[in-house]
Amino acid sequence: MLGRGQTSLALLRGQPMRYRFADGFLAAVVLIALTATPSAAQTAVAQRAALPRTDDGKPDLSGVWQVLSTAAWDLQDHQAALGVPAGQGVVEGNDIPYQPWALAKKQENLKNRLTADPETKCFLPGVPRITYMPYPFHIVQTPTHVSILYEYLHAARNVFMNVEHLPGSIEWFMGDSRGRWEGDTLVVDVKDFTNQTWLDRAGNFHSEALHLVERYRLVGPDHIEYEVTVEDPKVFTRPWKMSMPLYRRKEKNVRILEYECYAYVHEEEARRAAVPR
Amino acid sequence: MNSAIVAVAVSLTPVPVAGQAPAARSQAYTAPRTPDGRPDLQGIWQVLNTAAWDIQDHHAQLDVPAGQGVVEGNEIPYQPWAAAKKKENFANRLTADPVRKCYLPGVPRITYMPYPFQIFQTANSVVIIYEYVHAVRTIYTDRPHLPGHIDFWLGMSRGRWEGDTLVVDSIDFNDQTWFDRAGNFHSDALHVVERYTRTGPDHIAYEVTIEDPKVFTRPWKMSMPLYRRQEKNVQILDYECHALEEQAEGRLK
Repeated sequence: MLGRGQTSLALLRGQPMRYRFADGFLAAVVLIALTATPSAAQTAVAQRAALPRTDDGKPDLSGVWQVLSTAAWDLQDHQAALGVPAGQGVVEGNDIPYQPWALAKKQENLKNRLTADPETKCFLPGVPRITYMPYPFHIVQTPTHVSILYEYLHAARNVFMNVEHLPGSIEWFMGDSRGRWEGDTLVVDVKDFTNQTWLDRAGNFHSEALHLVERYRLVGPDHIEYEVTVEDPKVFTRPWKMSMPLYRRKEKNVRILEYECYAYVHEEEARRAAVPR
Repeated sequence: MNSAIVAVAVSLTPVPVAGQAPAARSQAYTAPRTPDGRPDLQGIWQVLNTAAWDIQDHHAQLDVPAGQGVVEGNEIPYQPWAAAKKKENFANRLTADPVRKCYLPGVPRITYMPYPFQIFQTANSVVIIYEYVHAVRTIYTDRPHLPGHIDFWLGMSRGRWEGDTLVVDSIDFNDQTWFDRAGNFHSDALHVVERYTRTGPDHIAYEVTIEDPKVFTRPWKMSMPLYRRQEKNVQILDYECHALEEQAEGRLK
């Protein structure tokens, strides 16, 4: 096994094989013990050290990100539909704890989803749905606010850092977002929503009492672990969670483009009207 | 100081791999190995682009994001008759695209369909199973193409290693597949050379050279990153196109 250990060690470290260990077997074994199997704590420290950071020492979330999931279609386990891949759920335990009336409402929504989903009317999809729409978004980070520019509908969201929510109750399609750092995790508290958005195309919904806590944790240079706690005492019996990775877009020329929903709906309606029946 | 000594000292310094700066890692990344010493490409991968819709620059349409092209130089060198045919395909794309009939999408389109695929490696083959229409591709790495002319929807693929790059040479395609929904097409003289190179723990650089003397005036290239799916529970599911098509038709009636 020594030979194999040497090989994998050398290859992991990008080191040409010609650098053989001069002191033979023992030195090689010691080196492997020191380098190839760091303790979990060492690994965690190394990973934290490897994260890109801003000038003020926070993990640098800047850049263009996107999910690789079908959560915008259905947060829970679902089979494929025409043009939509099957997907494993992003909800912890796959169960959404609806109150009885709300479960009936969700089922009605599901039945009518192709016309009743507010997203089909080009309304802003709300939070967290805008995160898992299949469109990229650009995070711009400063010490006082984190701005998220979404390709979908040109939506922009300002997360103000370390300040209280606005007093009063202005309702927002995208909620009112306030952020703070808990260690290396960006925590965003969002409230003051409308009741006009759904959580997915499958009819999962909420009321204006929705309260979200989003957690953005950079776990490597190219991945953010995104976790959301959903609370809405008017609709659910308890808070529940969803989570998914966000992927840094690696295309060299990547940038946010545009999705002007209303115009495309009009185009599509015109196209259908032009087709002779 | 002697530079060779510095190199040895640096390479022996016990810094865990995870502690290397991302820039350094991407410049000189060495992939983990399979038991037979090849770069390990195994796992579940997927593109994050809209190339299946249009491999060139395109604006958004209803439910389809805009996208920057994946073609080198953004130009596809069609012969004049073929440029006209591509335009006609584009005009009729919503019904004429063979993918609308649930046909296998061909290579390389199956790579950039928005569905995951899983790569397996053995000593004499690389096997790719695609979620989209349960497609499977066996890429032998120890033998030449079959003689003769059996036409394949996904071509006949043979692999070889050039350094750390898996090079897959595919021929014997039929003329029934398109490169994208925008009507880009080829003939049965298509010759595809794909190159898979690990660029980091979670990314593969995927580059394709397209050659088809019946349709293009010269070979041309496309490239894109493949992303390793990070979801802890990720696995290949299914996309049974014909059944889903029938369900959708039933709903519209």
